[in-house]
Amino acid sequence: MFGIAWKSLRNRWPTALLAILAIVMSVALILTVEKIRRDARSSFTQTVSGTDLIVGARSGAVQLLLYSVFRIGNATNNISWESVQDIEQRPAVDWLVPLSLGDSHQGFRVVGTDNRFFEHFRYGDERSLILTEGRQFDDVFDTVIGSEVAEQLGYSLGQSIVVAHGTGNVGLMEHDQQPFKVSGILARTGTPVDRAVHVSLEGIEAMHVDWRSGTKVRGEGTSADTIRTMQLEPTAVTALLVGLKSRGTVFREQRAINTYTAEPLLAILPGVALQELWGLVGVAENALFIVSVSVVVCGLINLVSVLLAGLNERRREMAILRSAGARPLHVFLLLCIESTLLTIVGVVLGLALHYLLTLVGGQWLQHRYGISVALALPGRSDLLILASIVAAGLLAGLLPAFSAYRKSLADGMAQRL
Amino acid sequence: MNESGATRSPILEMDQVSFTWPRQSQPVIAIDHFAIAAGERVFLRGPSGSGKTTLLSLVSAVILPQQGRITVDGTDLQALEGRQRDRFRADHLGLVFQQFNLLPFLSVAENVQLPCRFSQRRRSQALQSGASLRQETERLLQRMQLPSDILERPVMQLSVGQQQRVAVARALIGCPSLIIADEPTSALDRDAQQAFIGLLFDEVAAAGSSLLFVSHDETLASGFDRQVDLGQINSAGSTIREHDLREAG
Ligand SMILES: Nc1ncnc2c1ncn2[C@@H]1O[C@H](COP(=O)(O)OP(=O)(O)OP(=O)(O)O)[C@@H](O)[C@H]1O
Ligand SMILES: [Mg+2]
Repeated sequence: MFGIAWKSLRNRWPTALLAILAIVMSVALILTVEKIRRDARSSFTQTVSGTDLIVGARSGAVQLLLYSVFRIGNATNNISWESVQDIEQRPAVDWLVPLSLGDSHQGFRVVGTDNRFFEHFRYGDERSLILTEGRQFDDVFDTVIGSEVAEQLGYSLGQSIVVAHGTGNVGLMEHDQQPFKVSGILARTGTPVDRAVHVSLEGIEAMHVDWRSGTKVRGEGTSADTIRTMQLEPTAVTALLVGLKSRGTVFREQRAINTYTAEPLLAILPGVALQELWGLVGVAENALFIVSVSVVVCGLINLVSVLLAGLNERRREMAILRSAGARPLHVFLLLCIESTLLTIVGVVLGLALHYLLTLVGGQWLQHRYGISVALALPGRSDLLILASIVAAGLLAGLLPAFSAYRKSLADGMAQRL
Repeated sequence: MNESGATRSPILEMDQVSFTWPRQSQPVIAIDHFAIAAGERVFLRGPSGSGKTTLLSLVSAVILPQQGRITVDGTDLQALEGRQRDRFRADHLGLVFQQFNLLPFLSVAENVQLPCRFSQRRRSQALQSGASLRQETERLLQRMQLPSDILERPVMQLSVGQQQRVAVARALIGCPSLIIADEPTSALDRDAQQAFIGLLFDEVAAAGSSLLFVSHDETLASGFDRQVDLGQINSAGSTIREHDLREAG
């Protein structure tokens, strides 16, 4: 029966191909959407680790998480340097890393920080940053760039760069007086660090020396050497990453910072804020999932309609089989085998297309959004999805199979065209 | 033939058979008595729409009469369950249609061997007369005067006459007791028709089968042991025909 089903299908390959194609597309879509969803999640989760608290001006927890770690959106307010020093002096605090955001270079974000960043920042499974070339900040004008900045802009050590005020790319006045230099290049992390230009906090102050309330002061501008001699204590930063001596004190410290009286501050636990973020993203994810499931359903409906449409032309085939002694059950089986075969071939090819998409699209996603999409064997949930599609294909085949079964009973020996 | 057939038990016997298609008021078949003796070759004649194909469906147990009894090769078809009827058809009957007998996606050899897939009995009988299924297939195709290189050819490349002869080879494989042919020659020209019937006779005789040959073309009837007019044995056919004519007029 299997051989007959296969040969019959091969004989009708154009329609069979179309039916398979619809399934291939839907399978590839649902797998890819699911994969991106999962990898985006793990990519986000991997972005920061080892940080107990993130502190910023009072706003939403998700907003703070987004701008401080993922570099999405902007801070509404800053933390004054006095507050930073107050927090640093708390006995429970082990270390902190100041982050000053809001400037950009060629479309990449400029992150003002200090050498503690390279020492304490962790991502993934507690992995620390590694300099592939050069050194940390040594001079006011030193910059340490992420791997992707180096790659895309073709920068190497010692290169002079210009850093602009604001985060956009076009139409911004550039702080062209200050000769910043690339002093170090970081190894690839798969996080937004790859896409950042790190500048010392003094460097951030230095770019703004000749600026007053957003416009450039007239005149020659201050020379780099003069700036080096200046007192460049930062007045404010955007966010702090805080490490505690003991994790057990995290809630106490959080409360203490949240109730800080000198300035309204917000301290968040990265894990908790991530959960909150997933709560928000979940709605969109579900919508996406529903769309992919609908596409799969469309593929299966197409399969049924192709089989049903073929059925009338194949009455003759059924009559011949019946005359040779095939039972109606055989006819039923023939159709079932056919739909299952089509679905399985579709699923296998869909899986292949999915891998092709991840291979090609993964790199683009990594470049564009810093989401690392890795090739991996289908996971349990993928297998579940595939199995349910095959099962649905089998079920979908029952309808035309039953119809063929009834027709083969009713038609008798007559051959109808 | 006639005498020898009469002494043996009949291969087909129909008694008081009446059949009406679903959702129709008039029966198509109403036969008091009709029998074919073993080894007999019967020509069944009747105009289009008179119920010839319906009769063949009844004989091959694809449909069941509402009334009456049909016995084929000693088996009461009524007494069989659905799956037994399918088994019975595969075991005892060889069928040839008007045209489109062959599955286009199978090779000539696979088409000929199709009944052996569904019937163990046909398979073992085919293996008795030939050393292998393939040899028996080759032998039958050769007897049907088909070239030997035809075996693995796709059937769509054959002429209509060749296709019909392949269909006969399929009907004959494994020596079923009754060969049923429903206007197998209507797509052939006159010379080919005569040649076809000649081959059919030879092989039916060689296989020891009986033959029920249906056609509306009386010129083909000459070589048969017996000619039957469906209108004469079927009391329903005539009324339907009159009814049809009245409607057409
Ligand atoms: N599957 C069916 N369902 C309902 N009615 C049918 C069916 N098959 C045949 N009939 C009716 O039964 C009658 C006899 O049809 P049948 O096919 O037996 O004629 P026939 O003698 O074989 O004609 P032809 O020489 O044209 O093949 C016709 O009136 C036809 O409409
Ligand atoms: Mg007919």
